[in-house]
Amino acid sequence: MDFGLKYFKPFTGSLALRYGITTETDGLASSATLKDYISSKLPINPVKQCIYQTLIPQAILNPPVSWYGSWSGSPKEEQFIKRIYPIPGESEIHMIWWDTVSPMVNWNYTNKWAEAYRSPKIEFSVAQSIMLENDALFADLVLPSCTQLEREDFTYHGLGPRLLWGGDQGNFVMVYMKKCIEPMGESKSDYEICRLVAERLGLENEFTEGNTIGDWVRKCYQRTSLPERISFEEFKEKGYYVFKFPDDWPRKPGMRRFYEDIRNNPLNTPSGKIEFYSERLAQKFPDDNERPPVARYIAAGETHQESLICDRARKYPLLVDTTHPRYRFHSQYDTVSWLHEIPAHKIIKKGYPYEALWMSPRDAESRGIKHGGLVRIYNERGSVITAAYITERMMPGVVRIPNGAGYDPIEIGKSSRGGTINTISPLNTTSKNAFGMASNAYLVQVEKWEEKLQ
Amino acid sequence: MKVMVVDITRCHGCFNCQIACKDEHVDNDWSPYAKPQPDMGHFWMRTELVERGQCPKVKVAYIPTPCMHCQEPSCVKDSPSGAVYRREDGIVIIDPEKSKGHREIVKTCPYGCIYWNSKLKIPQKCTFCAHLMDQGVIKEPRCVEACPTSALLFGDYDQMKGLIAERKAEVLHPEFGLQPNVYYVGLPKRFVAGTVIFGDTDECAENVSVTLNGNGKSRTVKTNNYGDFEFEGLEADQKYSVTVEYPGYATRKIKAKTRTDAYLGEIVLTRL
Repeated sequence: MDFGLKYFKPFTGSLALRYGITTETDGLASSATLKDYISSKLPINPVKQCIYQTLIPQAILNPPVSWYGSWSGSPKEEQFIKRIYPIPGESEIHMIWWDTVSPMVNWNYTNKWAEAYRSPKIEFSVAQSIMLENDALFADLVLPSCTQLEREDFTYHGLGPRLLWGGDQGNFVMVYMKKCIEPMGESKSDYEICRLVAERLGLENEFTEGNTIGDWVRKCYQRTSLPERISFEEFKEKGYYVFKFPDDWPRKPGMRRFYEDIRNNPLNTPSGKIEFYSERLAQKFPDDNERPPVARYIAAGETHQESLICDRARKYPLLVDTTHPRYRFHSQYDTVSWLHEIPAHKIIKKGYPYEALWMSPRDAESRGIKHGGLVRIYNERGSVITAAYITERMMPGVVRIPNGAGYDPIEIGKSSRGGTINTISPLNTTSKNAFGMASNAYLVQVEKWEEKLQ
Repeated sequence: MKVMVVDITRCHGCFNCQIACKDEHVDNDWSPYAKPQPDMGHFWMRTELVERGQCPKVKVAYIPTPCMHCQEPSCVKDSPSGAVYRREDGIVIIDPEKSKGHREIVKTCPYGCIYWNSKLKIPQKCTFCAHLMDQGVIKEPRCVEACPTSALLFGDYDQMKGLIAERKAEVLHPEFGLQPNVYYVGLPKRFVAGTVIFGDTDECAENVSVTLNGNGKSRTVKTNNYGDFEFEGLEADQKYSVTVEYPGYATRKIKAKTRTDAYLGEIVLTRL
């Protein structure tokens, strides 16, 4: 194990973690200590308040909100800790600062997010944005940030931590990211934006500790096992270093140790075994029919009426399957014109790249929809305009569209022309005690779109 | 002579080749090989999507389609003298100067691989990235370099002919008679498929004997545990008859035509 820890030291020393200063919300979820950071002080967020991501619109519009849990990957005990926003006596949100402008298109019920962003409670908002897109459309002030090709940084490639969990991984690469071109226009790197804001607040030295980006990269380098293998100058010149996966590494797939010796390697469950029936869920949430102690498929429940067996299906008879996109990463690269030319991904009409809505020829025919024709996909939560991609790959009754297409409102809070399917996805989460977004499939109707939207 | 071999069975449609081509040629002037490609609308390496069958039995193939760099290129023959030429290594190049204004060159290619650049008023197409190879930068076009699954392979014919024979590579539209230098492995043919169910139990009918007769041949397969069977690699536009047999059940005979791929749907066997 010692080798593994050394091998993956970089995971505790990247600039990304330093950027994590403002997002570290909870003591339980973080076991970081000062030695894990490249800064001289342990970054601790003094603000105790936080909001579960899927509850942000409700937290702004209808506080208070409460929930269990922190984030996917946090300790299981988090699921039993109740949190509330606002904490009694603490302030509500007055201002939003986005360092990435994708939440509203990638989370549940974009229309509700739009409503929340425009709430009078939000007195001021700032967005750091490469393109003027999505959430940035709602910002009072947009600070243009540059791409990673226009700045220096330190990064790595490879799924290292899995190794510690007993997984099998390939080679691992650490990279000195070089600036290819100077930032375009007035744009600046996110670090530079933060530095300049800190400077205005008289906190520049607190933020930079006297370091340039180059200094931070050197500190990252020093925190890894790179110095034993390559000089900093050589690393910078070459731009990367490959840690070859050791041939003699004991390859133990996940839970192998548990499998080999259950007595001495128990799991972190009450019984120490794999629990198909969760006693803790049964005790803590005995009346949660949508997240029972034994995981199973539940077509519909008290907070979800999004199945073809529900009454709502009479009005909205199609199930929309919202996959992850194949030709972009969530909303990233949605603006790349070359990707728009991929058939089955986008359909370009009069120069506008419409998201492709896959549907079966039978469903299309019964609605008078032709391949490539514009359609309105809607339910009581709003409308999204897309172009029809007729394919035998869809079974009748189901349509498919990936998440992440750009938000291009026709009428804010009602409709989007950008194909942002979350515009009309459900606000309700997994269950009343589980707060993951539940928007992979839900009920809609589709019709030909010609006239202006209602 | 330079040739490309495209293995359709390895292509999963990432479109890296189509994008890599644009990365190499858009905004870059590689005269005298090629002028810049427009940002959109040109596909010097075009990945075509072919969908076959009917729900729920559907197959998808992606067919990367660059210029075929024919040995008997119609574009050279049918264009004004010198506007399109074939190099000694077999690469066909449209001269961006001499071809200027000659829109008719676009129509000389029956494969549809020549595109009109309305801004520069020139016909344009794939150059096999000859500018890179001549400089010795890389030994293969950018699209081939960018292919993550080795669906695109490139080299001298002498080097590749073994592979072409071994994988039974074909060319697109041999009837054009232009002797393309782009070869394809696993081009989609036609299939006949279906799903068999025992009528009395309403269960998937496993291990049922299904025989396909037609085109002077007979083939027999057994259904899998989902009751599915499939005959792949059939010729187009043929008439077949499918016989479904299982002891204790009435034999079914079904006609199938391969004008398109034929999914015969659910075939219910009746207990005798």
